[in-house]
Formats: sequence, C-alpha cells, structure tokens
Amino acid sequence: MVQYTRKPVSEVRPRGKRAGTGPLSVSEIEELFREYHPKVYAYVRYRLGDDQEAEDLTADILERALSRLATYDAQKGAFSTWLFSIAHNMWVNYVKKWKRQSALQVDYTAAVENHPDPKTSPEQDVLRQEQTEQMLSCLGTLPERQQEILTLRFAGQLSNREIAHVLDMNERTVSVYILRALRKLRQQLAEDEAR
Amino acid sequence: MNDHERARALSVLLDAASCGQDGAPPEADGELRALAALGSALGDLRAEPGAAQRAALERMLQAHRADIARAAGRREATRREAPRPGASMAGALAGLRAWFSGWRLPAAVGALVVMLIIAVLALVGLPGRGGQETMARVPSPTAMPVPAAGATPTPRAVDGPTQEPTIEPSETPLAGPATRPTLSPTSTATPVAIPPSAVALHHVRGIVEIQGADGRWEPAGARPFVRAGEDIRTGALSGVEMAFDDGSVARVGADAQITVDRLQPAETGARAIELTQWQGESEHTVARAEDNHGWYVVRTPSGTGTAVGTAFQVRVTPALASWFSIDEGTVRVSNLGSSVVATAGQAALSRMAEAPGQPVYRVRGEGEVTETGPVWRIAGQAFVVYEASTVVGDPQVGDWVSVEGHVDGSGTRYADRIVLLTRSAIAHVRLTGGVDAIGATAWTIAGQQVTITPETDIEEGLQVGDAVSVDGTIEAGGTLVAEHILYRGDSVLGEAFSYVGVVQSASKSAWMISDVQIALNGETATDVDLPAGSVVLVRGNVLEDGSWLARSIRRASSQQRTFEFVGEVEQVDPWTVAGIDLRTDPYTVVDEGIGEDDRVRVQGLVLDDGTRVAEAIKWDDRDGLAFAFVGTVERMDSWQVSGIALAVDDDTEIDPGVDVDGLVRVTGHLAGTEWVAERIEPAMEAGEGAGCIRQYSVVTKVDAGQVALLDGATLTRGGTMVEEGTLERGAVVEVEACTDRSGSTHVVRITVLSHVDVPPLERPPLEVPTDTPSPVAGPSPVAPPSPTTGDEPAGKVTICHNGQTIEISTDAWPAHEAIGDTMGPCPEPDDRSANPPTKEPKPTKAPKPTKTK
Repeated sequence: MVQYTRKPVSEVRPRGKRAGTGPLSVSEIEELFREYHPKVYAYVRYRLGDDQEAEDLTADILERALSRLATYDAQKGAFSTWLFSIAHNMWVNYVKKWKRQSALQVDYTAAVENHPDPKTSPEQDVLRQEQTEQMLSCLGTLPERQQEILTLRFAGQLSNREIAHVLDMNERTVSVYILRALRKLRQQLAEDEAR
Repeated sequence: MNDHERARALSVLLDAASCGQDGAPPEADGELRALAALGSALGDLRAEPGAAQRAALERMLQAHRADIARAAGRREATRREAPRPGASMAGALAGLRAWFSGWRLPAAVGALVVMLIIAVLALVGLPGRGGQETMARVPSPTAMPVPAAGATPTPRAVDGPTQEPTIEPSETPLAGPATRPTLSPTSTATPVAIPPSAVALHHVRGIVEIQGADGRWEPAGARPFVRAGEDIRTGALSGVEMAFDDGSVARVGADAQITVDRLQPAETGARAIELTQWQGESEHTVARAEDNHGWYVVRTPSGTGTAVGTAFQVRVTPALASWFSIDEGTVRVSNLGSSVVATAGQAALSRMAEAPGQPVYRVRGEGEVTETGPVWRIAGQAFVVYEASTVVGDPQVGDWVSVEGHVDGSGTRYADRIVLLTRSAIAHVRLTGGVDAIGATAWTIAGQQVTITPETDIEEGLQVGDAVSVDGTIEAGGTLVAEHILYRGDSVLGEAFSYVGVVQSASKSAWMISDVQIALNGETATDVDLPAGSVVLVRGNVLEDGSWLARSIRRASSQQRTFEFVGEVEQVDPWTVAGIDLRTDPYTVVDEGIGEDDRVRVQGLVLDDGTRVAEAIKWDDRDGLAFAFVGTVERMDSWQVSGIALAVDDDTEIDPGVDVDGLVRVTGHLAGTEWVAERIEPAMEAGEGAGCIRQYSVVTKVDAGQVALLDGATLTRGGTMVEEGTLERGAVVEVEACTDRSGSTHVVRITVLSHVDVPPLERPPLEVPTDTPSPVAGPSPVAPPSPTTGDEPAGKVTICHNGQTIEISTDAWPAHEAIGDTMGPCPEPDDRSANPPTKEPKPTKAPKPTKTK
C-alpha cells in the first residue's frame, strides 16, 4: 500500500519564531487581555462603520481567544501575535461571511465624547472629528491588504515583525506595504482636499 | 534610495514617533517625514472601548478563569464538569451562571433563562459541557436494517436506524446537517462486542463486504467483524482496517480480497492468524506473540509470508505476483518449498510457479518530477522504469508524486510504482465567467477565447449564458487550452461540486457514494447500470442547507479522479472540510487566514485507495476573482506573465520579490478582454526536484568520518546528517536524502533498523556503466551479492536456522554453524501449536474471486 509522507502546510510557509517571555501567571494573562482589549477594538473599529458591530466582533474575538488559551504558548511567541492572529482570521471570516466592503462610514462621535480632550474647544473637537472621518474614509479606499496592514500597525499597534507573523509575510514586505499604503493615503487625502 | 530602503527608514521614524521621540534618521527626507506624520495621525485615531465593554471583558475573564489558570500552568479544581443527573442543583446553577456570565445578556433575563433551563434539565438530565463534547448519537450497526438479498439498498440515515431520507424525486433536498453532506455513520459506529474467533473491522471506507458461510456478500456495515472462514473484499476507492485481538492490525486497500483462514487466540495455545490475500494490497502490523510462539501468515497465489512481531506490506499484482515489503522485523517468504528471509528495509518478490527471489533493498519517497522517460528523476534521484513499473495518474514534469521501488546490486534504483499526488500549478489557469459563444474548437468565456481539444472534459448541457469555471493550461503565446469546463452554479441553485467516488447504495432519491449521501431529483441524469461498486463522477450543486444535489451521475473513466466542492472547515491540518478528510502536500495551495468554520472551496485528486489529496483550499468567494494562474514573469514594464498581457494599475498589489523570470501567482478579474491583475505574488512552488527519498541498505564499513553502504554509496558523517542508532558493519539502515528548493540534495538522516546475521564483505568495485539502463530489461530484482570466500561460484544449502528451514549460500554456512544452526531441514514438530508449519499450506478456496460488475 502506498504510504504518503504528509508535510504540514505550515512547513511550506515557514513562520518566524520569536522568543517569548516565559510562562505567565493568571494575573499577567488577565492584564494582557485588558491591555489589548482597546487595541483589538480599535483594529475592528477602523474597519467597521458601526459601533455596535465593532463591539460585537471584538467580544467574539476575545471570547474565542479565551476559549482557545490552550493554544497559546508564551515560550513560542508574543501574546500580541497570537491574539491578533485570531483577530485577523475572525475579521477575514466576518468579511467573507457578510460580504462587507472595506470602505468605512465612520462615526467617531462616541469615541470623542468618551474621551474629550479638556485642552481643546468644542469647535476643535468637531474639526478633529471631521478630519478623522476624512482620514478613515480614505483608508477605506485602499486595497484590502494595505488597509489590513495599516490597521494592524496603527490601531493594533503591532510592530512590523508582529504583523509579519500574523499575516504570514516577510517583515521587509510589511514595511514596503506600509510605505506604499501611506503614500496612497496621502495622495487620496490631497485629492479630497482639492475637491 | 529605493523603496526597500525608504520603507526601512520610515519604519524607524514611525517607531520613534510612537515612543514620543524624534530620532529621525539622516536619510529621512521630506516625503518620509510627511508619511511619518500621517502615520502618527492614524495612530491618534484609536477608538477606546466604553465602560460597558470593559465590564463585559471582566465578565469574560471571570467566566474563563479555569482556561486562564490552565494556560498559566496551574490546574484548578473548579473544572467545569457536567453535573450528572441527581447532582446538586447548586452546582448546576453555578455552572450555568458561569456559562451565561460570559455573554452580554442582561442579568435579569439571564437569571430567568438559567432558572428555566435548570427546571428543564432537572427533568431530563444535564448535558456535558466544558471539556466534554456531546457526540451525535449514531445507531449501533447491529440495529441497522440489513437489506434482504436482491433488494434495492437504501441509503443509510445518520440519526437513528429507522429514519429514512424524506426527499421526493422532484424537489426538496435532504434534511441533512446544515454544513455538510450527510455522511455514512459507519466510521463512528458504536462499538459492538466482537466474538473471540472474529476480527473487528474499523475505518470502513467505501465498499467493504463480507462473505458469510452461506456464500452471500453483505455490507460490512451490517456487522463490524469477520469470522474465521469468511472472506472480506473491498471495492474501488475503498478500504478497511482489520484489528485482531492480540493487537495486530491489517489495513486492506482498494480492490482487495482476503480470506480469514484461521484465528486462534493466545489463550487457547500459540496465537495463530492465517490469511489468504487473493488480490489487492494490504499493510500488516503484527504484534509480537508471547514467548515468541505463534505465527502470523499471509498466503497469496504466488507465495506465503510468515511473520513474528513485524510490520510489512503485501501487494498482489494483477499478474498474481506478490511483493512482501518489510518495515520492521523479519518475514519468511516461501513458495514451492523454498524460502527466503526478508528483513526490515527489504522486499521479496514471489511469482507463480517460481521460488521466491532473493530479498532486495527498498527505496521509496515523494518529490517533484523533473524528468520522465526510461529514467525518471524524482526528488533529485534517478529511477529506472521497467516493464513491471506502474505509473498512476499520468504525472508530468513538475508534478508531485510518490515512488516505491527497489535497488539492485549495482545501486540502480528501479521504480515499481509512481503515483501522482498533486499536479503542478505552473501554467495552469482557472477562469470563471459566462459562456459567450460555443464553437467546435474554441469557446468564448468571459470574453476570452478558450481552445477546446478532444480531451477537454465539458460538462453536459452547458449553454451560452451559463456561468462556468474553466481549468486549463496556458500554452505558448498565452493560448488557453481547456481541460475542464464545468457549470459554476448560481445564487439560486448553489455552488457547483464535482465528486468521484464508488457507489455503495442507490435509491430513487438518494445514493451513497464513497460515504457521502447524494440527493437526486427528477432532473438528475444518470448512466444506466451503475450497481454498487461502480466508480462514478457526480456533478451537482451544494444547496443552502449543505446537502449535495446531483445534476448528473456518470461512470467515471480511469483518468477522471478530480474533485471539487464547497463546504465549511471542520479541522485544520490535518484538514477536514464538510466532513471529508483531506491530505495536503507541499503543493497544496491554501489561502491565507483560513480557519475552522470558514467556508472554502476545495479542489484535488482522489487516489486509488480513496484518499483525497487537496490541491487547493481557497476562500469560497462567490463574488470574487475571475481568474488565477501561476506563470513566469516575462515583462514588467508592460506586464506579461506566461504570454498573458496583464492590466496593472495603482490598485494592483505587487508583492516584493516579484521579478522577471520569477514564478508568480496572478489573481484578478476580466474586464472585456483585459486581464486586470489584482494581485501578483511570488508563487509557493516546491522547487526544482524537491522531495525526500528513503533508501535501505547495509553498512559495510564505518570509520570516524564515513559510512560505506552495500549499494556503493559512501556517506560523510557529521554535518547536517543525523545518525539514529549505532552504525557498525552489518547494520541495516534507512538513509533519507532530501532535495531542497534550490535542487541541492543532502542526506538528512541515517537510521539503524536491524543487523544482518552475516555481515557482508565489501562489494567488489564495478565498472561504471556508460549507457542508461534499458527499461525493457527483465524485472527480476538482483539481490545484493552474497559473501564469498573464494573464486568458486557459491551453491546453496538447506539448513535449520532458529527452528525454521531456509536456504543459504554454502559460503555462509560457517557463520551459521558457529551460531548453532544445523544442516538440512528442521525436524517435523510433534506439537503443531509450538511451531509454525514448514510446508506450504494449500489455500482452502478457489483462487479466482469473481468481481461484481
């Protein structure tokens, strides 16, 4: 009978390994979840045009991460990489399932109200909100991959190396993507302002 | 400064900005600073979760306290185990409250629901949770109705033995599970007590039948065991595992038939398992009997293999020759009163009316084909193809194959069998779109001309306007040649599928084909006369509820072995999609980010033993890209890949690493006649002749730096080569050599399997042949040279060695005499139960089984 040597697909796309920080305590794990909760929420919020949907998806991501904690090994990689791998996969699944476009209709009103800057005037807050909306609207016109990388970088606050692990890319490739994406975003903003 | 350098400089700027620093590198010009400022502005947009979300997170952390504690390396006593009926209500309430506390359910509603559920569960008993999955109840096979002889077989239901599919011929689909086609439950059947004189059957796949004392064949699903004196047979694309009570296991492949001649458990004397294999392949893992008494015998029409505590395979060829291939231990192969002893790493061939040939050393592995013809090159190694070689699946250069063979005394490798596992994606294209025009030699699909040949497989009934998918090749100049044109499906009917399998049962409304239930309606077209055992090609649509509705069921040609379907991922690596297990290999293309519960499209090949090898596992993107292909970049100024001109614009994602002459994967959509590229990325191909080959041989000489082998190879110790076991003269070894993507071959491992009794002398130097070996040379494997002490030719003598009668070279006699062997055959034992038989036992049934047509 023929015997087949099955090679795991992960060996075809080797993933970089990064030394972890050693076993974590219960309180450390809980603190990590608290620390990354806003980042995950921001990551999702960047992509979705609805507060409630962003909250729901964030909760789903965290729930899945907690239920799959058995798969996390602090010795083998950073918590951020592991968590955002789950977030990325769930986001992609969400998009495919609901056939959502990446373009945003952003409403950052709630965010501004939750964290008003006491040093700025209401008029400045409104201006800031408008600029925010404009920027995120332009972000939504970028190709999917560029949006994803920018979101992980600036909302998720992941490093280029961490992004490379999450998306199974080369780190150098990630940095080039960021360069091109920011260029395109800058161009788009300039065109918007010219109108 | 090129883009890579600018990207690096920008990263430094962004990292500095995020730390509140201004460590701008000297090369940061105005553009880079402006981009860094934009990045900072993006970073300032972070939305913060509100108080309600933070509170929800705290509840989740509480609910998953046990998971967190386990991840932190500590076990908690508060494992959430399902309280059994009669357990305290307080425990049940606490468990359920913990369950619901993880959800954003208002407290009052949550408490009310909890109380309601407790009330219900108190009446009916509590389900499991936490680590305990609730298994779907499947009927015991003994409860399944056994169709009367001659009756039309009815498809098996999943839930309960009496539930029949409710489908009517003309309409509604099967009421199967929402995410997968209805599967045969035989592999998950509840265990049934196996009689002591019977063999348990596990992992039944496809058609497996048992012939009882009355001569009738009945499906193995009716009872999961076979008794001594009964036959078991498998159909195409089928298999079964026979588990003996002493722990021995025989895995039976497709188109095989085996008689269980004798079963004697160890409790009644020496363990005895005697089988006769009439055809097909099997793989045996034999448990070592207590006190080394007892035997395990596999007879074939052309030889008998006797084993004690070993693992070996038996293959009966269509010409009724038998290969016995040994993985562990030893097997004595006998025919016509002559015997040879084969050890781990060796194989022995026994033909009808001939004494068994001397054992030869095996070679096997997987890899990319870089050369075909009289000599094939697989994984960088040369294999001679001779008249008895079998090549399955029509592999071509670039494809990934498995190879099994043997090595002759000169070190020449012969391929006994080469099996296609996965086709290369290079120059293969997949295109989807509407049929614009149909011609005799070309079709127009999505505005593209696609050449049709006599070999093109075109699904019946296609018309202009139908949505189709085309799989084909890109020929010189960018010409598309179609290999398959299939109906794509639509939003009403559902995604199309194509499936090759063996018919197990059929009724008016549903057929069971390779363990998948296929629904039929009034429009399903079928070939006439497709009885159980027929290999068929089914084409149809996956309905919204996950069931499979056939548009056509046709007899499959021997070349039709591809499949394609859409379903949800149940398990990743190893992969299970829509309940169907899939194998992957380095050529399998898997879209990024796919995980459990995702809906995917799978394409691949089904092998002769029913194994499904996935060539691609991709997102099921119904509105997505219209084409995908792998090709070579010819130009980048105005893009051209493998002769196809691409429209590339600012939105095209071009991965770094793409360059002229490089291999790339292009995906995109068609706009009129333009191929608009959406993404161009380096292709993940295995590489030039990649793969690994394992070859078996004997060590003839060892020193600190090198190991010399009987086949003439000399290996350098150290470096990247791993040694397992003690390397010494006479050691039987497995040598694994792998070729990487650049085409470099390295020996990665040498493993000691056993030792020969008489260490061979060094092989005398041979003249290097100047011609390629002829492929029409006789297939007789040439054994390694026997040790010689002089120039006279070596004769043979019969001796009694360890209680077994064998033939050896006269020159080997001194070594055997030294260890106590005696000249002549072993004496007949008084007690048969203590010694295995020395004469060839005669089969008890007629040798020619009849196959069901």
